Amino acid sequence: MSGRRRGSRAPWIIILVLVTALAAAGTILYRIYPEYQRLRTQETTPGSEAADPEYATPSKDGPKPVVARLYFARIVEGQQRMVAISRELPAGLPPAQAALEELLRGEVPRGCDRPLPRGTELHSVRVADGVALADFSKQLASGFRGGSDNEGVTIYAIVNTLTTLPGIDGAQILIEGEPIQEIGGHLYLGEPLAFDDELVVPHP
Amino acid sequence: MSGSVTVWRGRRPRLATVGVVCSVLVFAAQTAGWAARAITRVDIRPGAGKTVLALFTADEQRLEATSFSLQDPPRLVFDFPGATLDPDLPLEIPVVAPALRAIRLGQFSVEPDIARLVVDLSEQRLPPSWEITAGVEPGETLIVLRQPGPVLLAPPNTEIVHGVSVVRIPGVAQLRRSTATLTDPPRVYADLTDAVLEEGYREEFSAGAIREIRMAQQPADPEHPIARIVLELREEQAHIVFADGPDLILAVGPQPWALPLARHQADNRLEGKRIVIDPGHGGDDIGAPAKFGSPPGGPFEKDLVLEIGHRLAKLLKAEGAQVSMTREDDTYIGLTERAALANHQKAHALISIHCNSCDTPNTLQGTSVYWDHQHSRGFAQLVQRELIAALATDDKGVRNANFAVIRRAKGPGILVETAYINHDGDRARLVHPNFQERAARAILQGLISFLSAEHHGVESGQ
Repeated sequence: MSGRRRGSRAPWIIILVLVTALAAAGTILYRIYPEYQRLRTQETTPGSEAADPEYATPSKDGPKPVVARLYFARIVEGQQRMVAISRELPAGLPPAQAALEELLRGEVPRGCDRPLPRGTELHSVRVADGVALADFSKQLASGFRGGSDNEGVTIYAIVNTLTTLPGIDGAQILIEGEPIQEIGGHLYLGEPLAFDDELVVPHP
Repeated sequence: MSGSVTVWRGRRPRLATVGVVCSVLVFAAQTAGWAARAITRVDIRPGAGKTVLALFTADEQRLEATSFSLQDPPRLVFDFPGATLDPDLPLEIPVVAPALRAIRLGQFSVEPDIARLVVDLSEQRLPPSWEITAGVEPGETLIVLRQPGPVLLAPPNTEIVHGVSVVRIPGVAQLRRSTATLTDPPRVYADLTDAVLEEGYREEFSAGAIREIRMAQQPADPEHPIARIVLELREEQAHIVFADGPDLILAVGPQPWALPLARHQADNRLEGKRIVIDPGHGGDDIGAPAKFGSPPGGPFEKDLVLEIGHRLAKLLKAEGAQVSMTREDDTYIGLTERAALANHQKAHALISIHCNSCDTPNTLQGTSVYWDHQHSRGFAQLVQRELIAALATDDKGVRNANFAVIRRAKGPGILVETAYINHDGDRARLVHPNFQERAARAILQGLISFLSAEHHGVESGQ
């Protein structure tokens, strides 16, 4: 009797254990798969913005639109400042490249100015280990018109736009493929810079 | 054997008696002033509302003291009977306090020994009150000099120089002040803290920018009376405020910053301080130009800031500071090298000098000072205040920025944006030698205020 009972109980226990294991594995996969996907597509470590619903995450299923924060120059109460606006980036380009192209060529919000010197071209942006390396043409330095806040706005429009994209914690500016020291005598550009909102004012 | 023992026993009480008698005699001699007590150290401890002089003796006994005040020149005298001065003590100690000029030490008499300490007082101030108390440490005697009374305000002298009305208020340059403008009718006023008027003052003028000058006591904290001087103008005009030696000057009229300046009266106020001046840009880096284009049109930022830098260096040296410049001529220096120099020198302060600019000419103007590390914030505020008062430029305030020179400097460091080189009005100022000199003097004054406030802060924190 007891032997038969044991025999009849054993398959149930095995099924229960299997179901539990499958459920656990499913849960774990469900949780880590998006991270895995993100890491695969971006080759970066996830930033703190990953959970922000404002940022759509591109996936293999097809390009979902990325909404970026773009920083434009604006004069507020006689001071050179910048404002941030949210804009959906056009599909087909890596978000970092698309965002910088918006600064250079996209629509300028009313009352604002383009933050980069006229004639500046973006050669490339690549992201590695959370740091974006943005390579511009020489006009970024030669076309810069001087001034302390002006320099802050030019540099941090680039840095802030890049570092508010997911997976980018720092940004370094290159000119014609080479690292540079400075463009205007105030900010040191020989190393990556982090997000800085000192010159950012609310967009009216 | 026993006899010798008896002899010893008989001697002991006698030795004890001799010892007691000697002790009594020494004690009596000390209290009677026969044996001199040496003063070995005098510390000066500035504090809020008071200055404390701490005297220490070699034998760690407190000093007897008598005190009185004398006039012509005003001074306080403290006599210490039974005391001599250690020959290593200085004869005179300069004092950083508004109402005190110096402390002098001397041996008033020998046998009886009387050491004397004299506190020389400012003639413009009412004398401080004082008390003599025991300090915490053994043999520490304290002389506490409490906040002196306010300055008695004298009537101003007014003259017209190059179309600018120049109002000189004697003896109040070092007072805390705030100035502002009012409209309908246009007025400029200055509030002077710790100043009193014997009677109200009012004078009308038939020529120049000023129609009338009034002085009156303001309702305020009775401990810190405020006197207000009001300049009523015929029409709105620029005004500047600056110190000329002990006097305060208010100048109103067209381009007041272009007024000639009296020779700077140096007073060794920065002795032993290491200051690094960093004129921005240089060499191939022209900084901001006056006119954009290819090629850009001068004057260039690099030349104007070098000129102001040289003027500041001269003033600092006159005040006894050890001055280094990141560049003394038209050469380019990298951003990191500039801060490295200040760090290598362990500079008490780093001052980077620039001209501002913006993309569109004639849109922005004014003066601002940047700081990065928190310990430089007050420094920036003091320099900004002096610059605005002295230059009559738009006040763009102080701002935090991670500019390389001030970020990498370990000690206090500021970056001064004197004015906008691509604004016609500002540029007319920047190229004027008297404006450059005023900018340098304003930076100097802010630096002196910062370093003396820092000194006080450290002392009162003990």
